[in-house]
Amino acid sequence: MGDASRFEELFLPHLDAAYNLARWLGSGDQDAQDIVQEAYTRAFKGFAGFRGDNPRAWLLTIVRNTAYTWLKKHANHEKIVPFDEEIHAVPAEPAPNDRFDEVRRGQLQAALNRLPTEFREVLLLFEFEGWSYKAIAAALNVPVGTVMSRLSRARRRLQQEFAHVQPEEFDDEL
Amino acid sequence: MNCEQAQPLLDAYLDGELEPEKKAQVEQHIAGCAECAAALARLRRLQELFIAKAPHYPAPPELRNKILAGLEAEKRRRFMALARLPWLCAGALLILSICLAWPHFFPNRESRVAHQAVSNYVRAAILEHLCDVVSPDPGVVKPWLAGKLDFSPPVVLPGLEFQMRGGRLDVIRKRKVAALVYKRDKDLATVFVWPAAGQPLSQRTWSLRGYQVSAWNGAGLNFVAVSNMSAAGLAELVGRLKNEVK
Repeated sequence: MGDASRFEELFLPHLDAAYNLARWLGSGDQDAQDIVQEAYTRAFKGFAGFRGDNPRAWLLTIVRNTAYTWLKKHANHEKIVPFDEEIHAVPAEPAPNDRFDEVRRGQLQAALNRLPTEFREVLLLFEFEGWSYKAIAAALNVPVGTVMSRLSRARRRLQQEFAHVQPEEFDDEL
Repeated sequence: MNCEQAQPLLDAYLDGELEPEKKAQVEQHIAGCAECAAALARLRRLQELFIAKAPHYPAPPELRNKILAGLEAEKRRRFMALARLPWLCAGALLILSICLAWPHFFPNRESRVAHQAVSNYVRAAILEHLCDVVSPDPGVVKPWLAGKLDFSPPVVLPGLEFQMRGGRLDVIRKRKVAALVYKRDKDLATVFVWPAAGQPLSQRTWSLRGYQVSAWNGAGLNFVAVSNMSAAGLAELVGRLKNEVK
């Protein structure tokens, strides 16, 4: 049972990343919590088979698979909460800079929300988790070319969204 | 490389995912193409905006505790599964013992017959009353028995080194039966015979309290032979008797 404390040591530090991924894959807070909890249980059960040197990547792959199964199962229950459901509270008297920031943040969130889950997934894994195309391809079980095209199309979509939202400000910028 | 070739590669170029050769070609093209350079710059700005402004959801504080609780439950489940193992083994052992001991405590009809035959054999030996009618001649033994019983037992000579000592009346399962006594050297064999009457014995052998027992059925009669011979010796006697009684 010494395994258990080693498991916690290895995997609990990645709790934020796990929860964040679950949220990015389109679940609301409650679902994301359930997904992450189930993923940790699965990881614990499969821990004996874990040989890798990257517990974070291993855990996130499990979170991802758990999330897809979960969301598919609950799809008809209307449990999928819009990605941008929770938008950071706007301060009552925002400084002009903060205000601009909030607008940008909100726009990006709205734009991301309109992307297919598969696009958001590669964006998160590449830009934030820093995975290589190859690593993403392996985790998603798709060819590297698919990862490349999803990433590229995701960015085009975001650019279009921004052009649409605020042409005068972003058109030439993005 | 022209624009059409370069543009699909801009993302991979930005991401540092191009092979050195392709990377050099794209670089060369961008250096001479303002349009592609601008597209790359837009991509870069988008990436910066994305990294700076994309939402990040920190895990709620209670989630950590929920996960720890879930792991505890899982650990407990494992422990319980482990702790149950000895009890499961003990239970299996108990059931196995009962199965094995069952015939001893609750013998079926045939083994009760066999046990009684052995008791009769031993009692007769202890009382030194082996035979009511002592004769090596079936012509004497058979009529004597037939006169005392409600059936006429087959009295035969097995031949070779087996000799007939005689016969007596005995009781098995509350029924009067014929007991035929044979001898080989110092070994004794007693064969109990009675009409099967709808309850034929199946062919079986036992080793009970140091004696060999053999049961069979033939010509509408039940036979149980008990002896202090070896199993092979008794089997030979039984084989000969079966041959004679058809």
